[in-house]
Amino acid sequence: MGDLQAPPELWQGVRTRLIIDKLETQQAPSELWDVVHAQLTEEGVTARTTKMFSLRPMYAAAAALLIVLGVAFQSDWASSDAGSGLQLAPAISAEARAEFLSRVSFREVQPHEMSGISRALAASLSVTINEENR
Amino acid sequence: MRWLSLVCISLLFAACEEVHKVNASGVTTQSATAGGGNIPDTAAGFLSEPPQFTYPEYSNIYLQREVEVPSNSAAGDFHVFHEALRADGQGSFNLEIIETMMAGDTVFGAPSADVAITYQDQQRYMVKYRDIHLGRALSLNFNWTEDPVLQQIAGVDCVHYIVESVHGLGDAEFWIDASSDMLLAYTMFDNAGEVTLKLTTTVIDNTPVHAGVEWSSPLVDEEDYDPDGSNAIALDIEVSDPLYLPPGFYKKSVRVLNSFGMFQGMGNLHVALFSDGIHQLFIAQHADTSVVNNGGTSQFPNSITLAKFSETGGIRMVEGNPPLKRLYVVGSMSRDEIHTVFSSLF
Repeated sequence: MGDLQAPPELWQGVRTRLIIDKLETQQAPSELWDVVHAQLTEEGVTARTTKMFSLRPMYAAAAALLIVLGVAFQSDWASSDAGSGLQLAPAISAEARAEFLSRVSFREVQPHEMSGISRALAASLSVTINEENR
Repeated sequence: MRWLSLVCISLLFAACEEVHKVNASGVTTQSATAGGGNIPDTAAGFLSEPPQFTYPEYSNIYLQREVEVPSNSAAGDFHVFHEALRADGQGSFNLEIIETMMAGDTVFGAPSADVAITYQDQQRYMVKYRDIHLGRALSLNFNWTEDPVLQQIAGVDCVHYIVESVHGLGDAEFWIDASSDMLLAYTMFDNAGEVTLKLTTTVIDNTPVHAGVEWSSPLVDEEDYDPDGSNAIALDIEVSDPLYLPPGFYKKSVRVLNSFGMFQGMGNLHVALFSDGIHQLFIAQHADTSVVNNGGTSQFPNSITLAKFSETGGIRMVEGNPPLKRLYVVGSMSRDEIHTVFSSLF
C-alpha cells in the first residue's frame, strides 16, 4: 500500500467494534422497559404483540419445510403438462357417483343383443366375437 | 397445534425417506415395495418420466402376434388370436387373422367366418385403438417402474415396464425393443387385477416383401369434429357431453363418421375418444328417428331410465335411446365406471 495512511475515522470505527465485541451481554434492568413503555404510551405509540416470532423454532422449521416442499411439488406438477391446457377429470365423491347412477337402470344382455355400433366400437378396442356363432 | 405440527413433520420425514436414488444410467430408483394386484415384488427402477415408445405400423415391417382376450365362459379362460401385422412404413398397414384357439381348445385352428369378418372390417381400428398408443398425462395418472432385467420377445431383448394406475383403473405391463423402443408386447389389467387384453409378438421380419397386399382403408368417410358446425359430415343432433369421466381422463379426439342411413333412421356418428394416456373410452352418439324413448319418464330432459349393458373380450359396452337419439359408452374400465359415465350423459 506504500505510504498511504488509513483515514482516522476508519480506525475509530474498528476500535469501537473491538470494544463492543469484548463487552459481555448484559440484561437490561426491568425498570428500563417500564420507563420506555410509559413514554411510548404517552406519545400514543401502542406496542403490539408480534406472534410471528413467538413460534418455537420447531414450528418455524416445519412451516419453512412445508413451504419449500410445496413449491417443489408445484414445480414438478406444473412441468408435467405445462402450457398444454390438458383438462383431467377429477375424482368425485361416492355420493355424486351414486346420484349419476340413480338416473339409469341397466339391463345386462348377451353381446349379440347389443347393436352393431356397440359391437363395432368394442371390436376396435379388443378382439370380440359373437359367442353364439362359435 | 403442537400435535398437528408433529404429525406434519412425521409425514414429511416419511416421504423424504423414499427419496429416489439416481443410478448410473440416469434412471431414478427406489426400493420396491410389494404392490397390490399385478406388480411383482421384485420390481425395481421407479421412473420419474415415462418412456417413449415407437409403434410397428409406422415402420416397414411384418409381425406375427398372439392376442389373448377373456372369454365370457365361467371358466374364465381366454380366446387366442394369431394374427399378422404388415406395414410399409409409409402409413399403409394391414392386419389379418391367421388362426385361432378359442377358449377350451388346445390347438390352433382356422378362424371362424365371424372372426375373419371382424378382422376384415375392424383391422384399421384395431391397430389404431386396440393396439396401445401412449397418450398424455402419463406421469400424473400412472407410476412407471422399469424392470432392471431385459426380457426376450420374439428373440429380441426388451425392456419391461410395469405401470400402475394411480386411480386404480387398471394396471399394465409393456415390453419394448431395447434398441428401437418399438412396443412388442403388452398386458392390460382391469381394476380387479384380471387380464383384459394380452398381446405378444412372436415373429419379426424387418425386411418384408409386400406383394399383392390389400392395405386397410376406413370403412366410412370420417373427419375431425368441429363444434362450430362446419363439418362436411353434418350432425343432426345436439351432442351430449358427459358430466363424469373416470379420474385422470381427458378428451383425446373427436371424429364424425359418415354413417347416415347405415340402418333405418340412423344419422351421422359422433365419436369422442377419452383416455388417461393408456386406457381408452368411446362415447358415441347419433340421431335415430326409428325409435322413441326405450325407458320410462325421468326428471332429466332428453334422458332415459333404461339402458342395455354387455361385456365381451374384456370390453364393457352400454347403449340406450333417449328420444330421437342413440348413445353408446364403450371401454375396458369396470362396469361401475362405464355405467357412471353413461348415466352422466343425461
